[in-house]
Formats: sequence, C-alpha cells, structure tokens
Amino acid sequence: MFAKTYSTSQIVDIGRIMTFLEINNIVQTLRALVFAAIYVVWARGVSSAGRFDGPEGLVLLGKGILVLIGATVVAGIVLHVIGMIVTIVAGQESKPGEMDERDRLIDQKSFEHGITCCGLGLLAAVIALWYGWGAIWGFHLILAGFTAADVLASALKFRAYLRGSP
Amino acid sequence: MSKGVISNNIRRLRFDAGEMTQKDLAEKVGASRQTIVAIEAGKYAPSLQLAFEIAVAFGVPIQDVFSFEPS
Repeated sequence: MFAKTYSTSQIVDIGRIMTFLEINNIVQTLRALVFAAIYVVWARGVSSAGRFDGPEGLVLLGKGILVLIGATVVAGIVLHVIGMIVTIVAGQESKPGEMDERDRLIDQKSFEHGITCCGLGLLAAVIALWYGWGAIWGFHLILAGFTAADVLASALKFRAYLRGSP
Repeated sequence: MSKGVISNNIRRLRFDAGEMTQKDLAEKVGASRQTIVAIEAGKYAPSLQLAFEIAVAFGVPIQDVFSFEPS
C-alpha cells in the first residue's frame, strides 16, 4: 500500500539532479543493508538449527561468508553499471566514475570514519573472545563492524554532498 | 587557530565573462559543476591548484577571484 513506483522518466529526472557518485553512494548503501539482512537471517537460521556448534560450524560460517562476499561484489558491479546507464541516459554532465578534488576529499574523510568503525568491530570481536563468546560470535562482530563502517561512510558521504563540503 | 572566511567573486566574474555557465567553468578547470556550485556558495574552499585554475579560466589574478578575511 505504501510502495511507490517510479516511471522511467522519474528515474531519469533523479539522474539529472544527482551526480553518478551521489546515486551510486545511495544504491551501494542499500546493497550493504540488504546483504547484512540476508546474513542475519541466514546466521539466525543456521544458529537455531545448531549447525554452528562444533568445529564444523566454523567451516560452514567460512563458506557462508565467502558466498556472501562473492554475491556482494557481483551485486556491486551490476548496480554500478546500472547507475552508469541511468546517468548517461539522463544526460548528467559529470561522467560516471569521474572524481574531482572535492569528491576525493569527501571519499577520504568518510573512509577514515569507516576504518574507525571496522576497528571497533575488531575490538568488539576480541573482547567477545576474551569473555568466551566463541569464534562464531567473533566473526559476527567483525562482519557487523564492516557493515556499520560501510553504512556510516556512505551516510557521511551523503551528508557531505548535501552540505557541499567534506 | 582562527579559520577566517574565504569569499569569492565567481558569480560576478562569470557574468563579466558573458554569462559563462557553471558547467562551462567546471569543464575549463576540470572539476564537477557541483564543486563549482559549492565554491561559489562559499561552502567549499578549493585547493590552491583549483583556485589558480579558476583565476586562469577568467584571465584575472587569483586575488580578484578569492579574498581572505581573518576572523
């Protein structure tokens, strides 16, 4: 009932207003959130079935993470290409993938905050291991750190583009 | 350390240059139109390199484009 559909011309209008980098930033954030949700659902299912128990649990987790990384990379490339097509069709003057000094500065500053978030995830994992939570939880926390870093960096980029300055 | 305020005359210089568009200026200096918009609005202070390139694009000295007021 609340779903809103966009026509092709409306999508083209979005491509005119926002640069490729801004559109790509939003789309990649959504991708990160979707894959994080998929991971949570999968991990909860596996955990409740007791398949994370024992040494086989880490093997299963490793396989799951590798599949997820592969799917994330493929989705990222596909969305990147779609974004390029939308901006080209929209006649956006900034060429897809082209960055100037302000873009690079925005990218660098948001990356710095993202790295901090990754570090916090790693620290949380080490503390969890120290408290005897187990390696599975350590991996979950590291992945949570990566996802949070991705989303935080994107949110900071979005805010910087709205403000106009890094 | 005081930051000071960097102001610019880009809007007037564009007008003097026959209503040069932000897009044209962006293409001349190798930046995006959004960056020119941000500089013109005083939201983004460009690097020295870009500031010089903007001055060269208008054919004026850099102090005619940007001015600094210490706070």
